[in-house]
Amino acid sequence: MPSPEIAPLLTVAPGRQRALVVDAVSKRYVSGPYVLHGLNHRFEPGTATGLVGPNGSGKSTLLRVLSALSAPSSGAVRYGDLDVHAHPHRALADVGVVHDQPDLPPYLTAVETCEWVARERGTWDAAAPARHAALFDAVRLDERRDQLVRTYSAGMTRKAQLAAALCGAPAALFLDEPFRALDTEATEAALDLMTAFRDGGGLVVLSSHRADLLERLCDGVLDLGA
Amino acid sequence: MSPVLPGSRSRARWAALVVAVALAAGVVAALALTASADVDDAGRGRLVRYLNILVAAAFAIGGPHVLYPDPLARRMQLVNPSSGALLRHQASRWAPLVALASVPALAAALGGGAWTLAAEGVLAVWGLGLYAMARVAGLGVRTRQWESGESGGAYRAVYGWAPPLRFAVPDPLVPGLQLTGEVFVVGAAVSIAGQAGAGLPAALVLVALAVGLVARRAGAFDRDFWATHGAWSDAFQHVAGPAEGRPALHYDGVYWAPRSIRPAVWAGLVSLDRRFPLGRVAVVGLVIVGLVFVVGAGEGARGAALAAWVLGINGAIALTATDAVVPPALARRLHSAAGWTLARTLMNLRWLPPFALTLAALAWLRDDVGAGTAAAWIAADLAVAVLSALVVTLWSHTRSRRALA
Repeated sequence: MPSPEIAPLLTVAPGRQRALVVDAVSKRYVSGPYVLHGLNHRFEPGTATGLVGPNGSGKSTLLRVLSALSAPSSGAVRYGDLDVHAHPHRALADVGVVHDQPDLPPYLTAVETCEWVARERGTWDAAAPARHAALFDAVRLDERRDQLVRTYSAGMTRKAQLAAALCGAPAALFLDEPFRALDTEATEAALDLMTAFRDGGGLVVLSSHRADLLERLCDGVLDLGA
Repeated sequence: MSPVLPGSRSRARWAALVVAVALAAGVVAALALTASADVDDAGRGRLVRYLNILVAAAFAIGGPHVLYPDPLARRMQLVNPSSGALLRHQASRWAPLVALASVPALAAALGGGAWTLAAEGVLAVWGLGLYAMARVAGLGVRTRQWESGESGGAYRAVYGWAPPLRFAVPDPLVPGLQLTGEVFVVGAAVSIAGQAGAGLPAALVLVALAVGLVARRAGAFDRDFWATHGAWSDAFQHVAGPAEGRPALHYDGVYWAPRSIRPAVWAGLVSLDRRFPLGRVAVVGLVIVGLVFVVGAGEGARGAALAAWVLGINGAIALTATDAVVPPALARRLHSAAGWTLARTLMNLRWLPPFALTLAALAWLRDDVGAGTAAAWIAADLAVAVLSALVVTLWSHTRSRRALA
């Protein structure tokens, strides 16, 4: 189980817990075929939902739409009372994202990256260094956390991404293939973190082809290939 | 440097970028000074306004592509910048290019001590730069309105009645085309006003209008930024095939390249064409070159226009050394430096026939353009094609060696 030191990052106060509602969302890329068509779903806080479906069924597209990287062709996404695409800054203030294509500052270390994120998101305090150290321990990012991100392997980058998504104390986590490139030990550690976050009132939406892991973590699945 | 994204580049890369921008500024200033040498006051005014029309074309075509999709958008989601921070981030990416674009007008005007003309030229460029940035930011919302059918009804009705009037792009991309025309027309209008004697007031009005547009967007810039990033990312990064109406170059179409480097030439040309609308830039450039001759501009202006075309069109070969086209490490394994230099030279030489035809047409139409002059410029284009290919290849191979060291 994750260390108690990181409990503030894994616990979402009831006042910050909001449902995420996908309302009749359709998405196509310019004039291409529909990737999502009239999708309706409600993601509740304190739950983890796995997005499943074959390649090209729209899992990454839905995560891009949920995180405001792309707007729906029609329909809306609401986080609590907020229309995510009308007020992306306010909506993303509560969201941590792990993208499938990693993009971390190459000339910062993982430790500096988390300090930067925490300072920008207003979660930096005197206890933050110890909290972040415990977070790096929890994701199994070893002493190389003090090396530049540009030197990391794919697995280390994934661990740093997960830590960066959590160090801003989000209320919702959107994760695209978060277990990719992780070894067995790191996969178990990531699963423990996500489980603790969900149990602490966090909302988790993730896509993965690891059905065994989704079964252990998720309260439900959204099958986009159906 | 972006105010919201530390750690994006090493100090060495920042220094290289600053040197590159300074060198580019020096080159365009030298071209402008050459063009304005021995020109009277009226000719200098005309030259500055022609240069600004060229800048308007560059902003109109290149602005949206430079600003969106933002390659660092995923990284920005980590820290979730506010509207103001996003605006500063975009401004910090755009401002160096606007500053560079204002150098020719400044150099051409100050070369003759024309301070008012310099103020007019620089204000017009900055006003148009701000205007383009503000208008481009609104593209995402407009694209979405066209996509959902909320807007664009009149256009659809027109092409439903007369199909040939439909643009060769999907409907949601039509606002982007309209904006290209709008930015160019606004920039050209200020230049025309300048010829009518109202250049400085027109430039000031444009600056005021642009500042107003930016201020109006500032409060909800997060919505505009993410919507436009998404729209352009959808259009240029997530569309499965090439754009409608633009069939890709077939492998057999590069029969003229030696067999050993033909795959590199073919893949490079296809990638280059999808990455940047170089064909449109080449055509616009040749039209401007033709106009400079037709209006009877001086020797300096003619030389500068031709040199700008040759340097610009051949310099674009640098895009083939970016990670998005061919990662340098892969490039080294595929071919030697000599092979890549030849491949890039051949990619550049596809622009030689239209250039030569333009010069031949000018030599035929005008008594003051000799066959010798045309031949000299064709030779210069050939030399720059080879030289730029060599420099880009050496740069790419050096990057690769450093990465693997």
